[in-house]
Amino acid sequence: MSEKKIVLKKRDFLKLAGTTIAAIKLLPKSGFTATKSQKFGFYIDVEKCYGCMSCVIACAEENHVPLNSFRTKVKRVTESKKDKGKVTFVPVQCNHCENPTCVKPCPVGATYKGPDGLVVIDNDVCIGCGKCVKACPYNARFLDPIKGIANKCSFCDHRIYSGKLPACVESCPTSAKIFGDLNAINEISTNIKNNKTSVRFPEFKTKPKIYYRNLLKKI
Amino acid sequence: MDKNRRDFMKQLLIGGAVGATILSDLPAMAKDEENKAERPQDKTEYKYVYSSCLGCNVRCGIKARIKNVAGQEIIDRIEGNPYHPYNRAAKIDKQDHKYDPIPYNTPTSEANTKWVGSLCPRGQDGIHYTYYPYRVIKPLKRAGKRGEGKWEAITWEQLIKEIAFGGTIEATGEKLPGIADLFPLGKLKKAGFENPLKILENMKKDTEAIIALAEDKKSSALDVSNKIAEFKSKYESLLSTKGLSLKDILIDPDRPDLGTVANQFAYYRGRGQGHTDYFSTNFANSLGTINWLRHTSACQNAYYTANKALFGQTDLQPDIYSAKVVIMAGAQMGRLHPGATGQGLIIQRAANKELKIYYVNPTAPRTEANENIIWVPIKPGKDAALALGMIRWIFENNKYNAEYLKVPNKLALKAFNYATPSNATWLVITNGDKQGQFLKAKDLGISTENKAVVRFNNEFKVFDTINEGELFFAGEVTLADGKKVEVKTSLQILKEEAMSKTLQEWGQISGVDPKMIAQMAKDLTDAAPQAGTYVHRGVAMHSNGEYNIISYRLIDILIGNYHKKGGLLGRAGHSDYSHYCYEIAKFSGQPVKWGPQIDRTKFKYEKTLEYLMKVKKGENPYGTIRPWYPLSAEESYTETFAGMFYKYPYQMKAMILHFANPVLSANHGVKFIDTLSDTDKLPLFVGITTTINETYIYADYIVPDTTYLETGTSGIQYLYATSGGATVAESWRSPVVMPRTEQIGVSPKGHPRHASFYEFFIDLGKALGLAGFGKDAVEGKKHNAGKKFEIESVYDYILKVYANGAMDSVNKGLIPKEVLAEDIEFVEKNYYIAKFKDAISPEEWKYVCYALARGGVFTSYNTSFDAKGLSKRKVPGKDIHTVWNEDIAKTVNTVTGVKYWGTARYFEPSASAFINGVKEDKAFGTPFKKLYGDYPFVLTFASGPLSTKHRAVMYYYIRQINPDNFAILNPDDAKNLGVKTGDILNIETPSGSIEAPVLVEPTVIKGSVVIPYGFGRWSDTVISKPKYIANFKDKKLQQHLNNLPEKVSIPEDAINPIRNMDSDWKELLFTNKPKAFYDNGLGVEKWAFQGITPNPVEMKDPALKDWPLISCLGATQSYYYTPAKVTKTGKKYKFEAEQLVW
Repeated sequence: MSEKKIVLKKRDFLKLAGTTIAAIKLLPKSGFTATKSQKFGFYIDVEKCYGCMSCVIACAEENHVPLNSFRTKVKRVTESKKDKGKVTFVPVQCNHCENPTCVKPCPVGATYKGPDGLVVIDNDVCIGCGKCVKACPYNARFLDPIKGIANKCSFCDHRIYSGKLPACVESCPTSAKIFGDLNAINEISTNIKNNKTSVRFPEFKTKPKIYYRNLLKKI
Repeated sequence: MDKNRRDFMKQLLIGGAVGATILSDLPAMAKDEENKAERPQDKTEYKYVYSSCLGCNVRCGIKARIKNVAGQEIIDRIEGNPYHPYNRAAKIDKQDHKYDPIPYNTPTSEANTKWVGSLCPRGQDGIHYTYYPYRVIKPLKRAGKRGEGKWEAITWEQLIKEIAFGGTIEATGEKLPGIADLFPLGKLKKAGFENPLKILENMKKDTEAIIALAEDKKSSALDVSNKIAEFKSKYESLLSTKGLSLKDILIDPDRPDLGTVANQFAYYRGRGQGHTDYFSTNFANSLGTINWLRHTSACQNAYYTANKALFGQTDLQPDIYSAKVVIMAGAQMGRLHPGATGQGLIIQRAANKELKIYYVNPTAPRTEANENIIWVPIKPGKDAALALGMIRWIFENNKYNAEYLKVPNKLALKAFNYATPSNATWLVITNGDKQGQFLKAKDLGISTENKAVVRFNNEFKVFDTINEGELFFAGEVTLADGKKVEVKTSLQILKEEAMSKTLQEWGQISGVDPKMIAQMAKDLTDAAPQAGTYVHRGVAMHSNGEYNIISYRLIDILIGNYHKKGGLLGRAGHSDYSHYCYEIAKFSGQPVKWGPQIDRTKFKYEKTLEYLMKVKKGENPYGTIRPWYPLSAEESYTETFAGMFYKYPYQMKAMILHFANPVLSANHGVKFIDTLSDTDKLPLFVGITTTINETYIYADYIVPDTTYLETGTSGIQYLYATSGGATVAESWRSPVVMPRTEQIGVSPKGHPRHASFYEFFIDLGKALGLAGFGKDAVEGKKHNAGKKFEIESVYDYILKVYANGAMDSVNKGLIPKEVLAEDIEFVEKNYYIAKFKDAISPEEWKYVCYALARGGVFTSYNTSFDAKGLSKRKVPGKDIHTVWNEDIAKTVNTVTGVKYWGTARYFEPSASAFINGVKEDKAFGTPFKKLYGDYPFVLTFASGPLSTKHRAVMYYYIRQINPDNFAILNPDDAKNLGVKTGDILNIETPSGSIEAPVLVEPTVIKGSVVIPYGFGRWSDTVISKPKYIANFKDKKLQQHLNNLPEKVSIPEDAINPIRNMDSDWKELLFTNKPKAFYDNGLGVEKWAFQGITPNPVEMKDPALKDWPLISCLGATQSYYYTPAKVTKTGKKYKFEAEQLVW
């Protein structure tokens, strides 16, 4: 079957269902258009994180995340080191992977990777089937208990195009998180260049865009 | 896409109406990299208000974002203030190294578009705190016995009238006194005396004369009794001319030294702040009571008391911006000033290898910051041993700062680069009846002065006549009267104390490896003076707390780091916010006051008639029922409630308690219920609070209060010692949204008035006729001289506070004479209080806007030190720092009659007196290891950025991360007990038992059981009995626990400030919570009452009738050392969260 045919079939089907593609794809006009020249990512220095959880609360407020759901989390790891306890906190969130495994399973194309590298959920298209939530190997997604659709860290894409920072980066008291355009010469790309970094579970081959310094394995 | 359509689509697609092939090809419909991606942007019209946080007491800045939701202004998000040194600033192209705030004169347009400040999670969740459904919004009066949990709503007018003039509890027939009974000035005025202020002044003077006579060693007991009789006769005849008697004015006519009946009224506050502290002080001063009391014994009083003794200044901490090595002891990460927000600077500096922190704590640090935060596990309460170990190393390796220590006076010190000299060289008499006192020039006969003496070149010299003295000396000296005494220099005594044990022994006692002790001392002294001790509650809040702090702080004195860049600093300065152009802290018409406080702090027992008469009659004056604490810096919960209970030194009649919870927040605070539930011990109990907590259950009246994001605690907040790097730093707290408590009226100027602390004192003050409230209450100064101003609403008051602060700052050149229009516009557009700017002049308002738009007044760190590295701030504290403290050495424990030790010493955690009169050598009380040797564990607790005070239960955004708490055990201990994470333990202390699930991890020292703080509530307007408290050993306390009502009886419309707010917004804040909690009903919400607190079973004092244990010198609650037995119950607990975090 040709693509065009499938699209037509889908459209016919949707007409039958009483909706139109135009209706589904209705978007507010006050948008920003992402382009290929930017590629957004994070740099996180684990040694600076001390588990204050500012980022979790800032995100919850900024993005109106329902209580008991989390767009961003901080994992706590304790281990014994030289006969003493050692505590490490690791902030985790959607990695906006270069090769996201969450995009393909979406039956309605609500989730996609934009040209600037952000993996986006279109709230108006998502039907809340939950396939993407199961598909994410980092457990970064969840089903919003109020709206019934998929939800995850969006890199605060409703803010970053006007020169603002994601809420989690703003609130962090220790500069543990840095955000920016990996394609530009700036603090994030300089830090990645000058420091040994790693990503979570590189063996998943998802190519995450959150680069950690001092990351423990298996987080 | 709306939900219905979505469900429909879902059904169609998944229900099989479309084949699998099509499903898998549908992504073709999706946007690919070729398509341009449109993203909805946030175009909401927000308002922004800068203010000061009250998530904890650090007073970081906040920038609150306000959104209009269904016609109501709500707080949508709380961010940090980039102008504030604790939040510090960042922007898109400067995110790394958040070290500095933006300059104070940065235009607000630039600050608001480009810059952001960081903020900890508690500050951010001011939202749940403000919109908490259990908040009381109407005045309440108890409708049953105390503690029955029965309340009726009353009008504001009835509330004021009954509290002022007396009310009756209809349900029981109890008659409550009114505060007017305790207002002697009012009584004299009402009776018709023409000069009532003068009468009280004369009484005070005559009382002082009685005391002077009693102190005169030549007078007899009869002489004093006769003088008292004269006094009584004089005033009885005066007062009877208008139908009054001395009993109406004095607590006890036979004891005029106890003061007037006003002292039988106490204002007690828990979470004090500028300007509620100053406003309530006005009320207390205008009434004439000495009892204006603070929760400091639960806060940091032992730390204050020790610092005050050594330095004359209560609050000192290292310069966190420049220090290179810091001993961070008894201070949780994410807690101590500069708080979870401000500590971000310290953690970054450590991670960036600019600062090394030795984290001395029974619990592990939250990050090692590239191995620059080094955990030094220590046994709770043993800090003095560690400090003395370090001091020993310092002496053995000659790393003390001889150049500094040898200088005996301030004048000679000017030649060197130090701010304040020490008394290291001063000679102390070490035997005989003057033991502990300095050798005085007049006693030695080298001059007639009562001044200390030093030794130099084999001669004795008066300390202020010479440039240096010998550091180490011990020898015999013959006094002018022929007596021989042994003397040592202060430094000699300290050295001997440190050398009294080997490094191994100090290590053994504290639990710290002696190699580590040596390394800490070496690193500290190598980095000196850019090094210091960063110490707080974990060190101080012990029975031996002052000595723990003294021992650490002597290290600072040994290295000479005071008032230096990188060294020990006092607080930043602040504006003249209470006096500058509106005198709002002193009023004509305020009566004199005298007498000891009910808690017997800051007052010498030896100045009371009780003591003086006993001495004159040849009786032993010591062995008082409760101790006296002349050296204590501030007040004591235990001593207040014990004082009320024993009516010692006098009976109390009324208390207004604001923003406090001593029953829950003190160690074994449940003991205070004995006092609070008894109308004989405390006839009138009024609570000003946002919710009815574990203490306010026993109140007679509840005054609903507003939160800090409304008008609560509005004013100007000075910052604590970690702000010392700035010369001026103050955080301005201004109301963000209108109060959600009941509106109770409108002021003459048309300001809406809502039930709150401020409005309550205005109306109560007016009803009683107190100076400082109502029409013409305030006198103007400077450009306002000759004019009078009103205090008829909270806005009248706080705008004048801001005007004082702003105009003083203009005068100092901190606020420019020219204010940009954009600053005024920003404030007038965003801050609702701008509507009430008529409380001050337009000129003043202009400058107020400058500061409001920046959340305070802040100078820059970079301009705070001179070329030699000394702070430009005025040197805080007294003129000589004490290596040996004569005041402490002369102070007698009034229960035991034993004098205290005047310098560092390791004392065992102990009772505050001896049990059964058995005196212990070198101790101030019987050590607990002698009494509770069969309790192998130490129960203690830990706070941090997540779980701090018990009002943390309200921060639901944080509680979603840590809804449960637990008792933490080291794996070795857990193995011996046969328990693993989730098993429920029984923890038994000398006070009682609690049950707690265990978390087993190596982050706590062996032998300790650590509970993360801020859980375990049982009353927050609604009641939920605490099942985790297994029992109290004291039958009376067990009865109090059993008597807690199963439910409260309270009119539903008297609580819940969000009842009528947008339901979608409520659903977001309280997702999956019962509607009976946040909507309609009095539902008991799980998280509000989850978990455990160790406080109810913490340490009591077996030497003093089992009242909550307090410290020896400063009457401070002793929290962190409770002997415990830990056993397994066999029960298991299922934690709510996936991950256990604290």
